Amino acid sequence: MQRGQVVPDEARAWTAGLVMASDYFAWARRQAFSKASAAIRSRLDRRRLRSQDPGTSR
Amino acid sequence: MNSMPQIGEGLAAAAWPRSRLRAWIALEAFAVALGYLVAVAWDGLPTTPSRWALVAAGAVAVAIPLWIKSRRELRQEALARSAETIAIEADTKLRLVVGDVVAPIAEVVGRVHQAADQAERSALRGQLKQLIVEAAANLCDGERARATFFELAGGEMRATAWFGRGDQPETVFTDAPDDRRGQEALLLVRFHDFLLVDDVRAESLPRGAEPRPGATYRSFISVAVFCAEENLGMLSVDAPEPYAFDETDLNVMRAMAQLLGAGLVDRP
Repeated sequence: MQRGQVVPDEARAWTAGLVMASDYFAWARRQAFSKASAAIRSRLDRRRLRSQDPGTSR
Repeated sequence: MNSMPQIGEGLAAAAWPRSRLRAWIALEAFAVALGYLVAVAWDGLPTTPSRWALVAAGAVAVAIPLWIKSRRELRQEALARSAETIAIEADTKLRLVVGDVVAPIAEVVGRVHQAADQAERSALRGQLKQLIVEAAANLCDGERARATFFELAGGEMRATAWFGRGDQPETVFTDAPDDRRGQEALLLVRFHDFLLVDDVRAESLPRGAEPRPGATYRSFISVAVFCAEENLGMLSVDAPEPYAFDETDLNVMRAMAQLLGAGLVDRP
């Protein structure tokens, strides 16, 4: 299960002018990169597992 | 904002895990070499030069397939890693554009239309223009990119928000007979078009799309900002490098321009 804000506090701080764009984008890029790495690796791992499982591989 | 990490941390924390393939290859080579030495020494070391030559030839024959196999495995691993890197980069950009930029900016667009009075609406629109150019400059791939919003007012377009490379955009696009560039820019807005130029020095550009003398950019994207039939201006991003932008950047710019248009248009 996942639950969170549609517009996170960090983004609100940027749109309200409380945080500089360079700081916000550096933070956002780091967050996005780490989440993307985890997502892609877990997708790859699942695919590897599926291809190793004789019951599900074609 | 307590959870916001410091800039100095960089992306190092998310660096690639070290590959164990080289260690496995070294271990395999060591095991094969040990096995070969044991086999050679089993009946005593060779005593004549011809026997030593035979042992050396055998060592080469064992080493060559091992070397070929390890090269193939390392190459396969490098290919898999670069495919993984490309996939991660694409996913990162998607998350940035959709989650970190479009969602918060759409919220500001909504606030513009909910503003209680003209003063508040005007302040929010100024904020929106600045957010859009900040997002465009940060999302488009060009190094040292600069994004500018040229607002249309009284038949002329001038920069009302910009972000990125230091120099402030001073161009004013007019419909004057001697302002060919201005006429082309105004036509682009009127026809709700976009223009992506990879290299202003290498490509044959349509008349009026060439940069002004002394311009510091080599590549740019310009997109009309409009909402329904109302023309509002032009959003541009430029970079001093040629081929700084690709089709993904163009699509980001189109989305940013439409968000800006939605926020700047007056309700009937």
